[in-house]
Amino acid sequence: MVDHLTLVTAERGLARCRARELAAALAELGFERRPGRDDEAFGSTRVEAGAAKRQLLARGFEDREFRIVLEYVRQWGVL
Amino acid sequence: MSNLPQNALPWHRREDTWAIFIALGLVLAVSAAFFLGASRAVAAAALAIPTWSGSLGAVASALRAQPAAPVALLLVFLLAFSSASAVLGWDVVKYAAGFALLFAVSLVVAVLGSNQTLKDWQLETPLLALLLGMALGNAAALPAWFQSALRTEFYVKVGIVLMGATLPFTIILQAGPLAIAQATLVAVTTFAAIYLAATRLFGLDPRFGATLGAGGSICGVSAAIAIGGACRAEKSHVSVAISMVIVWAVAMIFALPVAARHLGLAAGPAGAWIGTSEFADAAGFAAAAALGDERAVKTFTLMKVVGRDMFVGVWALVVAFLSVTVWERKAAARAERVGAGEVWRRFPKFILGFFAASALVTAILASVDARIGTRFSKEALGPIKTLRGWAFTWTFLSIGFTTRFRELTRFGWKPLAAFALGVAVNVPLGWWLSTRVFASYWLAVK
Repeated sequence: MVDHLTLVTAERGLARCRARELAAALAELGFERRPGRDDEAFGSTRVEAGAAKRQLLARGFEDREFRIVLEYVRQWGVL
Repeated sequence: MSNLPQNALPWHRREDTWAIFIALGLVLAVSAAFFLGASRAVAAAALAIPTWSGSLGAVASALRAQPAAPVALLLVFLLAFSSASAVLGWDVVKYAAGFALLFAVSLVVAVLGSNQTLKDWQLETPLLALLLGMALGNAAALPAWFQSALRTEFYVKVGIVLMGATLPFTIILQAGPLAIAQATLVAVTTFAAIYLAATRLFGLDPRFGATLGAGGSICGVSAAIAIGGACRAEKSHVSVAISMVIVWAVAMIFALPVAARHLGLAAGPAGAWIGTSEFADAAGFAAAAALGDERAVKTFTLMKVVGRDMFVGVWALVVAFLSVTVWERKAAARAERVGAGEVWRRFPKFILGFFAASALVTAILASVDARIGTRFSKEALGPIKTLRGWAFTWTFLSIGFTTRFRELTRFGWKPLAAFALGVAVNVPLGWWLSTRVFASYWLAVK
């Protein structure tokens, strides 16, 4: 009934090397860099937000190092 | 293939943007035509079907009086919607063909819905459109080109922005705070009832409970989507919440108008009750319009759009914060940050068009003398109301054609029971507030 887009961005002020590690981890999870104003945004229409967060925490990242935004969108025909 | 959320698209490729453009464009064009002395040209496209009984003579006379009206009406919306569809990425040829057929069906439904006998049976255009759509949509496979024109959300947004033009800003300012107070009271109570039932009674995940609660209390499917995203509910849970909303919303389209009539409610409080207790915008407009009184549609809009829809972003912020702290059992200082941008991200942008249309028409009426104002109401706002009626008829047909009960997600008894408990709280509370506590306010809306 819905499609989704999971967006992950590095938290502001995150050290560059850590941001690079985050980008690499996200790329490994299948996230793609999204063009736009914020070049640190990575998106996936396959990985759900909960799974993304679990994976990032399991790889040693802290909650305060990234920000996740999940957006659902209706599929055609849903009221 | 996934479709992207509106926030991930550039502003000019968003459905809300085009709903605002089209509806505000119509309001501006009709207003300009009035001041340029070209109201007759506008009237030619604003096809109104008169009430008839027995033979179709009255309808035939009306069509003879404005023979170009059906074609003009079709061309205006076909051009506007097809232009939008090209930018929005829909298949323009399929969309245009589908819309032409949808328009033809809407003509038949509007003629039937204007029959006095059917009106006496409470089967006016909104309910007829729904019933016909549901019967055909569930009985036969619709061709893909026709399906591409079934855009419930798009049509209802156009209708809501046009609604803004017929609702003076002064009424919004006067009744708005009351609508917000009533809506907040009911929404908080219903959300709490569903959430607590889901999590405490039935042991469901708190994110699932919040998504169900949002669907039942804030603004239906849109809220389930916004809150489900904000608290990162699982996709399957969001689908269940949507199924719940659809089942109850469709049932309430028929139940609430019947109950309002049975209880002998005046149009204003009845519309406010529907605005408080119906679950989705499009379904609510169908229920309010089924009462056949403009005042019911106005009070419904004040309750639903101003009182409930506007605040989904605030709910999203609160739930997002709860999600990363309480539900993840983390102290706020250690939890993932939640930005205030959440409020704007989840805000339904088409509401800006609703307010802009209302402010525009109110400014026009305030700047002319009473005599011209009366003429403007008749010659400009009259056709806008008619065009709004057509947008809603396409909405109701689209709801009917796209509501396939067999395709609703299997949901199990626990979410059904939690949601039903919310309905059992919401409906009587909405009735009591609309018809007892705040009745005088809703009766005063003309």
